[in-house]
Amino acid sequence: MNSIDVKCNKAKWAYDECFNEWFRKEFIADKQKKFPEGYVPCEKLLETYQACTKDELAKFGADLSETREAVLEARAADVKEAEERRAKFFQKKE
Amino acid sequence: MRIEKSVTVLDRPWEELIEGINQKYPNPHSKAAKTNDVLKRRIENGLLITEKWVGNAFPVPSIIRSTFLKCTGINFPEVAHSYEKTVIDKEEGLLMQYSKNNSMAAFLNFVEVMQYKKISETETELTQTWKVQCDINSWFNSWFESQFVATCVGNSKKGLDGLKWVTEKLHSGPDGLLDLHHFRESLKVLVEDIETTTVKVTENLKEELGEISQAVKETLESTENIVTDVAEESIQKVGRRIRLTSEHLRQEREK
Repeated sequence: MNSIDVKCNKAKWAYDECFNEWFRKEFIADKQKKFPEGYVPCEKLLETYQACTKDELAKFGADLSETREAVLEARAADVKEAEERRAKFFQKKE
Repeated sequence: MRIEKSVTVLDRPWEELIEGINQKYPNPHSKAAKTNDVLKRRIENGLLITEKWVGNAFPVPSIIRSTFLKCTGINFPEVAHSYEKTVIDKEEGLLMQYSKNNSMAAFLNFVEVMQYKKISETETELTQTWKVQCDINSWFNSWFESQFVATCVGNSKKGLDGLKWVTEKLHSGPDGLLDLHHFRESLKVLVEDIETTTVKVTENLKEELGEISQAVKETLESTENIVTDVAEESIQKVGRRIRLTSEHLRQEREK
C-alpha cells in the first residue's frame, strides 16, 4: 500500500515489512509474551517513516483531532459495555 | 441517525485473520483503497493499539453524488480520508477496529466498528456496525443516510473478500506468499518511477511542441507565399483593367 506522500513509500514499506515480521513471530506466535507499556515495535523505522509523512499529514491537523475524539467516544462506549457485561457475568458467578 | 449491524462467522482461526487485517491492503477486491499511513502504534495496557490515516476513492454511487451536489453545491472529493483505530487484545482473542470519515465531516458522520472475536480454534465471529448521520437537508437526510448505509454494506462485502484473499495467501505456503509478493510489487509506486515518467513526458512534449512549431512555421510560410502570389496577380489584373479602361476612355474622347 502506498503512503499519502509518494516520496515516503520506501520508508513505509521498510517499516511495514519489519512490523509484519514482528507481528507474526513475536506478537501473535506467543500468546503469553508480554511487552512493556509503551513498547513501539520497529521504533527506529517508524520514526524515519513518520518524519517523512509529517508535513503531508499536518495539513489535516485540526480535523484529525476532532475525528480522533469521535472515535474515542465510540471506543469508550464499547469499553463501558464490555465492562458492564463482565460485571454482570461475575455477579452471576457469585 | 441510521444504524446497521451485521454478524458473520468466518471459518478461519482468529490469529490468521488478524494477521490478514494488518496486511489487508492492497488486495484485488478493494480497488478503492489508495493510501494507508500509520500515525501511532504502541502497546498500551497489554493491548496493541494502531492509529492510521486512510485514503480511499470516495465509494458513493453517482445518484448520491449528483443529489448531494444539488443540495449542497459541493462535489465529493476524489479521495476521502478517514481515521482508523485498531485495538488488539490477544489474551481475549479480540480485535476492535473503529473508522470515522474525516472528509465531508460537516455533512456526514460515519462510524464503522468491526469486531473480530475468537469463538473457537478454527472460527472467528465478525460483527460490523455502521452508524451514519447526515446533516445536509432536513428533507433528504433520511434518504442520504439509508443510501450511505446501503453503500457501506455493499462495500463491506468487497472488504471481506479482500481480507479472505490476503489471509488465504498468507497461510497457504510459499506459493501463496509469492503470489502476494508479486501482486504488491506490481502496485508499488516509486518516486523514481514518477520522475522518470515525468522526464519522458516532458521530452515527448518538447519533441511534439517542436514538430508543432515547425508545422506552424511551414504553414505560415506557404500561406505567406500564397497571399503574395494572389496579391501580385490581383495587382497585375487591376493594373491591366485600369490600362484597358484608360485606353477605352481615351478612344471615346478622341471620337
